[in-house]
Amino acid sequence: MNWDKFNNRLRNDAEEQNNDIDIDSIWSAIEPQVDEINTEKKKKRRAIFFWWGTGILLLSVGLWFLGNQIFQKENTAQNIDNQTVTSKTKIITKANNPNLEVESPTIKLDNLSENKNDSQSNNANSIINSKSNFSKNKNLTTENKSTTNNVNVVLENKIPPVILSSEVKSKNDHEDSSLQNLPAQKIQNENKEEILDIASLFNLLNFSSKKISLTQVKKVGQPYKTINFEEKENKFSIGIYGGANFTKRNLTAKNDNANTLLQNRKNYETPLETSQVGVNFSYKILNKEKYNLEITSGLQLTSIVEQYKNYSSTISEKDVEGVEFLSYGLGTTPIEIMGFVTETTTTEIQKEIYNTYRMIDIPILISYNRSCGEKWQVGIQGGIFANLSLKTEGIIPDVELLDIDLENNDLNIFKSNVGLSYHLGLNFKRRLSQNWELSFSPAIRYFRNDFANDNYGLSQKYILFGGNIGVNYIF
Amino acid sequence: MISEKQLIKDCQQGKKSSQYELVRRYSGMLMTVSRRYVSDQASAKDVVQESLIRIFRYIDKFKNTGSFEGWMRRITVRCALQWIGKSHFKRETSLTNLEVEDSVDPAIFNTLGIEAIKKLVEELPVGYRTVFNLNVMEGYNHQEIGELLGITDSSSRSQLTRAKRMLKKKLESINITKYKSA
Repeated sequence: MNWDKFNNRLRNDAEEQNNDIDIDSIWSAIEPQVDEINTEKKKKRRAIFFWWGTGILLLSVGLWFLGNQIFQKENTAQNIDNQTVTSKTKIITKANNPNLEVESPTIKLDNLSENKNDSQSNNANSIINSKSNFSKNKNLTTENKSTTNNVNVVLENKIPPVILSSEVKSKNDHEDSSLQNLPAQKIQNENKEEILDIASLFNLLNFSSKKISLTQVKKVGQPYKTINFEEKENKFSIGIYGGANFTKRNLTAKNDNANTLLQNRKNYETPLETSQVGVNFSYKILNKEKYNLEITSGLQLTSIVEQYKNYSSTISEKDVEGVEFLSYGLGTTPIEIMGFVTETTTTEIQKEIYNTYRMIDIPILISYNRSCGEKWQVGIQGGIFANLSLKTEGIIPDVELLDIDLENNDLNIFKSNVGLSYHLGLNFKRRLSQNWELSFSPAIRYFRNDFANDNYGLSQKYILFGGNIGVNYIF
Repeated sequence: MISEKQLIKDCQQGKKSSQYELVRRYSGMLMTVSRRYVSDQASAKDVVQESLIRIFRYIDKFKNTGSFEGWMRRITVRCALQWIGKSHFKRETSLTNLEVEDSVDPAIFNTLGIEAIKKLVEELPVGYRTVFNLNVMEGYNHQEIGELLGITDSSSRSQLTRAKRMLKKKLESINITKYKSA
């Protein structure tokens, strides 16, 4: 076909040509808008980094606290095991406890034997007596420990690092001073040997007539504290949720030329339901018995669906050769006169397309919850959703009422990010067990920004009314 | 000279020197495309400027999977069509479905030259000229032209047929005149 050759030649020759153009005038005309585009892109990148950073920071802080709590629980459990004391052994230490005022000379074996002879029958007095003997040894200091013959006894039970000081009180005042001169005893754990005064140990065990009260004073600076497991704080929770909303779409024309488009879209498009799923992570800033203040973040996928229905018809005509008319001549049989006849074809077009708007958001919400009974909590929740991305699929009409494929289109009708939206709702939580709870949260979500870009003739915004149901794990 | 791939990457990152380089390299080509659809020079320049702004706005979406020049040309064609206003082509009915049996001798290029032929194409009515350029110069098929302009593919075919017929008449009349004058 010569037309093909003509076309090819025309195309090739035209491709070789380039129109002369004043580059500088074009650049100076578009430079301000290019600067705006560059600035917008930088802001978008910063916003994405900021919201991702916030989400990651919250998660990291939560994990750090979680790790800390687990670590503390483990150590407390170990500490409680170590605190088992099976006897009334007096434990006095001087070594790691500068705050304690204990005078504790060590005892010589020969003194011990003397004590034994004296105090077998009268326990209380034996102590006192033994102590009076000890007073002879007042001059002995801890520096002389190494020179004395001490009895080494390894305790059967583990003595924890918690160092307790004992104040031994007695009825008789004159015994006080001697009682203070109790023999030195080092606290040991399973790896060290205790040096005990056997005589006083026996005397203590047989002690009956004198009232002696031992009060334990917690040493300052102890590395461990006793935690009552019944008062667990349960500050963190992690959960999944899903929900649905009624969608209210607000379409307005940006200029007079778009009124036809507005009418067309209102007539042929119907907003359907919106659904969302997500994961959340919460931390109770304040956790009191009757109420708590909680901050929640996470990740949510939201999907808004609309139906686009359009009925139209096209008519095409073409001339075909056929019987133009019948001629009734002189004879009875009609004669067919051939000619060109117009053939009309009408095509009915019915379109039913579902358009979807998919968003990925980071919620940042604060809620105030009050307890209602043992298992229920009711609260109010508010905050923002930071949109990370918006993806659109489907077909919508443009200003010329021609269909635009939202996925494969250079015009980019809709934005890739719609910014912040506001959330306000209620919280109903029911505790299922110590670590699990069910939640139901009806809420309103308001998108303050237009979904459509500036080059599109209509402004498109949404308000969602609905709720979520979720399950949370508390720790 | 910076490679096309690097140029695209720099423009995606907002490097101004690379954006100027892109304008310098491709404005001529975009102007050529624009002039096929828009009759006057000033309007064609506006179309080129609008196209460049859109190219810079949406260059992040270019995935390096096809021809970058082709991607820019498509944007320019759409800008040009928007400038024309697609009302010329809305809901047109095709009254005839004639095959063009005549042909044009490509040797006419030797006689008239490419510039003269281009001038004749520019003189065609807007609708004919647009369909002719989309089909012959840009390589769109009738279905694609129909989607772009919102017409049926049979309408596109009939527009092209009429465009060719008119162009042939113009070519022949010029040729006859030249022949006669020669």
